[in-house]
Amino acid sequence: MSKRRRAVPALVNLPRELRDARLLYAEQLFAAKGRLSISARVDRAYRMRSGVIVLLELKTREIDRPYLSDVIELSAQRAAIALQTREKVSDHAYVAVRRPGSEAPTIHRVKLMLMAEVKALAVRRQTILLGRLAPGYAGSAEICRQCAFASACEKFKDSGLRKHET
Amino acid sequence: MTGRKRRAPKVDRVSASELAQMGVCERRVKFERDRGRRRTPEQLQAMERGLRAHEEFYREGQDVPRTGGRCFVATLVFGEAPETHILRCFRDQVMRPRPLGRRFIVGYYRFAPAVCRFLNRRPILLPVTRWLLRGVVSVAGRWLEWQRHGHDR
Repeated sequence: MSKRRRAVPALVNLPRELRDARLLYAEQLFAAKGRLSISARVDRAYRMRSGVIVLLELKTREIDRPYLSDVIELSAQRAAIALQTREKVSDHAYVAVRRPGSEAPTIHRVKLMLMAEVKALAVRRQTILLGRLAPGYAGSAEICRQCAFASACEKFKDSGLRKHET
Repeated sequence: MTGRKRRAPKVDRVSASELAQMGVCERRVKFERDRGRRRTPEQLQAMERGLRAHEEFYREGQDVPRTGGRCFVATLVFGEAPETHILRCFRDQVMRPRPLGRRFIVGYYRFAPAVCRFLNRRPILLPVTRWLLRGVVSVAGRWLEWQRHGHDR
């Protein structure tokens, strides 16, 4: 018996919380000025029945899990939206991870950083860029192996990761 | 001790994706600032794949119906202005979660079209309505601000 194949929507497994929500923003840019000048492009933002906005970020990668960088990015998006629109944005968000070759992404719920933590991180970044603070290194050797600056990086040279490069 | 409050330093503009790089490798952030952006062929491929997926994701989002919501009188008086946006936010964040607020919204939607027709026939009343609504917008804006700060603490 042949079955007609239906096109599978990319977000077939949207979290229950977002199924009743209204899509508010898609690929929208926000920019806030002031003590914290931040800009962010939001993949998707949903308005819940309660009025609160919930963010969703799409990532394409091999490993099906959210990273710290996703949490930082979503937290920065939250700060930009809240500062620009004065809207209430939820302190949790979703990361949709789509693995190459797979149809539907997996959705992960993540807890976001506070506005003060985002600001502290922005201050730290600026201090590092000004050369007043020594930067930290990547926690995983895999990141170092994939980095375009590996040959120039002290950690990469010292740790002997190069031996395993081939 | 001077007793003066130390002000937090002002931070240069930063994008969410730039800040996210801090969670990957701070050394790379510094390298990129000093030597410019560099990507390995694998990273460029992954970026292309990501862009394609985002385009598809965006198109999919466009198929979902999105309505700005009805805010009849405010739209008539202000148009699609920041004032209308504040009133919509107030409706969605303050009134909609409360039973009394929801009743008000239902009642408002019942009578607002008639009010709009009335105002359309008497445009002389529009400046007065605008002046009155500005007061409501001011209170709504302050309420939202207060609610947002309370939520962030």
